[in-house]
Amino acid sequence: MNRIKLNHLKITIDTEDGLFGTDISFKEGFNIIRARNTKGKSSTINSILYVLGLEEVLGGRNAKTMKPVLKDKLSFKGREVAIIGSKVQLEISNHRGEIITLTRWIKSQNKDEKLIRVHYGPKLSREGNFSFKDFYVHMKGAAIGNAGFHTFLSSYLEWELPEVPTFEGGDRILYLQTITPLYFIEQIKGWSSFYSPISGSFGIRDLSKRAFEFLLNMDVTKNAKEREELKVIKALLSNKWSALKREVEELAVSISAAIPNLPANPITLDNLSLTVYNDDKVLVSIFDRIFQLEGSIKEKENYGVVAISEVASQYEEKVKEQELLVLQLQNEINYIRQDLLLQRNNQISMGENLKKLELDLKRNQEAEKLYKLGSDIDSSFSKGICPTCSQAVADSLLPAETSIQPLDLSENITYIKEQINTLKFGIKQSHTVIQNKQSNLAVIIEHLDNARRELRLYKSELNSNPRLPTKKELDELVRLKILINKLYDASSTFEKIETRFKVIVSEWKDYLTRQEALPKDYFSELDKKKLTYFEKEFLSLLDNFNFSSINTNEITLSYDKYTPIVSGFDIKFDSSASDNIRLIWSYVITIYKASQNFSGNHPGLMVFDEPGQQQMAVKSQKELFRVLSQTKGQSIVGTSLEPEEIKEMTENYNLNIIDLGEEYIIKPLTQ
Amino acid sequence: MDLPLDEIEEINFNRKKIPISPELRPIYRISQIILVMELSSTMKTASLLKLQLFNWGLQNEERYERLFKLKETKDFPIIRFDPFLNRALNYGVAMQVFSFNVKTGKFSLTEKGELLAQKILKGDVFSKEKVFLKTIKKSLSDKYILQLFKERYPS
Repeated sequence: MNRIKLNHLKITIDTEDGLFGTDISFKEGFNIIRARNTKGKSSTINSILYVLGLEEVLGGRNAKTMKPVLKDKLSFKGREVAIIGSKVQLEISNHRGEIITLTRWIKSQNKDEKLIRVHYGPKLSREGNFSFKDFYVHMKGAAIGNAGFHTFLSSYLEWELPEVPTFEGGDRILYLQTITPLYFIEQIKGWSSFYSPISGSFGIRDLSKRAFEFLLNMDVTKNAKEREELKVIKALLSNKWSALKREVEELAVSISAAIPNLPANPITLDNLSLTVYNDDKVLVSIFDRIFQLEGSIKEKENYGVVAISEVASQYEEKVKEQELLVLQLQNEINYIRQDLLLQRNNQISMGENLKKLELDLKRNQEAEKLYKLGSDIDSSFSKGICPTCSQAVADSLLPAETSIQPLDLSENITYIKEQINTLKFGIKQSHTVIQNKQSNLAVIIEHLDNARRELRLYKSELNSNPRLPTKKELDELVRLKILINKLYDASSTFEKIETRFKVIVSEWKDYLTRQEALPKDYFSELDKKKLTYFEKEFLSLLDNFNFSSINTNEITLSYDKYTPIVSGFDIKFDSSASDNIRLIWSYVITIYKASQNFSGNHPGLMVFDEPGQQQMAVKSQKELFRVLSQTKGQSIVGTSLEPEEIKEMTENYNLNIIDLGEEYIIKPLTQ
Repeated sequence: MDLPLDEIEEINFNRKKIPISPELRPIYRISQIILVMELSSTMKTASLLKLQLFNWGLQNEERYERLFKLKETKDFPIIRFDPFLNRALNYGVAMQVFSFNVKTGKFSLTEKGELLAQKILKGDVFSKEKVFLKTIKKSLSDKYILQLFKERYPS
């Protein structure tokens, strides 16, 4: 498929002496532009680059790349003529047969040199009003913006320019200019290397390789890009997945769910699930658990919960009962406490009495002893006889008038002892009584506390909203609701996570599909075929062109640089000057052929300005003309051969010879 | 309570002997006086005031302390002049264990009394009283007691 065909080139120069210029019609296939040296042949050919906005191949931008003859002054009949204005026009058609005419001014009062006007029609071939649109080159966005001429041109040529890596690290579109050196060999720099460097820093890495790959439509460019992209996608997906994993785990921890053991790679997981423990400590899915809890809550709300209003009368009855009970118990306690106090006092006084009695006993016993002691000295008292009157007298210091008959001392002692025994018994009894009363008191106090607690509970419930469920039921309901709300939150979070999970899985699948589609090696099978074909064709053309410096058997194509190498080394461009030219012929033509053979992106146009450099053998040039004439694409060769030589060399060949004569090509235009 | 008074033909009353405090027994009180004279009196002679004071003091152990600190506090206690003491002294004089000096108005221990005193000191009686009297010794003389008494109750 030949994407472009040049139909008509017209250079118009406005001078003080009227209009000058030239008008060239190209044909399909092989075209030879023949002119004498230094008569403006290269200027004319290079104007093609200018009108296409590709003049950077010439080592600059805009009109300064054009020769003075096209913008300052021209020689005519031995004198100089000043140029007022000039423009180049080119009528081209594409593979779809759409014809457009491009106009770019070289020198103009009112037209910017960056402007390229596109007329939608064969403006140079026939008269007519064609609509037009202005585009720009060498401005930011020229290649990608809407007003960019190259954006327009690449869509016109159906070129999808790839994004290629730059030195700065990002990607940039492969500019149209950068492809040009592989099909347009201009006279000055074009013959010095396979890919003559172009001016303007595009910052694109391995520019010549990318251009080569583009023309052959090789997979590597997009594969390399794809690899880069996949690497980024994988990192992104892994990140997303591990973030998701962490979220699931945190969620699981927050609701005491089973912590899922998630794989490093989501694709191996059919679906994500979150399981929690139910009441029986069995793991169930969170949704089942919620369903079950909802059931429990509904049940409780509808039937299970006993409302206070239903039990109010019962509670009031209970309150009364309870109040009575509390009162009774209170009374009982008061009574027991009083009793206890009395008992204790009684016990204390008994104890004091006992002490007194014991002292009394002791003293009585002492008195008894004293009597025995005294009887040795005076027997009167021990016998109850008065020491003065020797009459019977009571054993007492009490006056006789009191008529009190005291007990005998021994009887007195017995009496006291009995008293003591009685008291001791009394104390013991009292002790037991106190103990019993105390334990009784403790029991009743406990009863009272319970009764009071129940009374409080009943009262507080009666005070509450009568429609409310009882406190106990309410507690349980609240617990369940808190739990279910927590689970609702968790499940909605989980659903979001699940959605994201599905997205990640599908993205991961996409990633794997793309990864699968990538060739294992750097070159795809098709790329390898193309390169093999290229090498074969290239070497066969070299043979055809009588390349002789090196045995072509030793030449291979470097898969690294896409240039020919000899035993691993670049072919030196100083071996034989004419052989270098042959290398370039072969190289440029093989690119076209390879592209043609494998549906590449070659524009289908080859331009060689002065291929007969370095005293090229006529035989070789003739062979070039033959090859070009048999090539389907359009080729334009600029040459300064004599018309007879051309005729001789191109005998029987199908070609279009444009002989521009012996004089300057730029000459007065005949209206 | 309803008594079957109609059926009762006669009522007999028998006087019952009643128990009395040992301090009301003559020999107990006489022995106490003997100990005061023997252990805490110069020349085994004591005035009635002194005997009344000690008689009060020996009633219970809390009063011991008051007597111990009498010289410090100079606080003559309100004592009960016990008639039973006087009666005991009478009995003692009759028994000839005490002698009463009409001139001085003081009671002294006789030989017979001294004999009884020795027996009481050896006997297993009045153990706490003996310790108290042996501790306070003869520090409170009749003269000092009288002087203190007069200061407390002038007129």
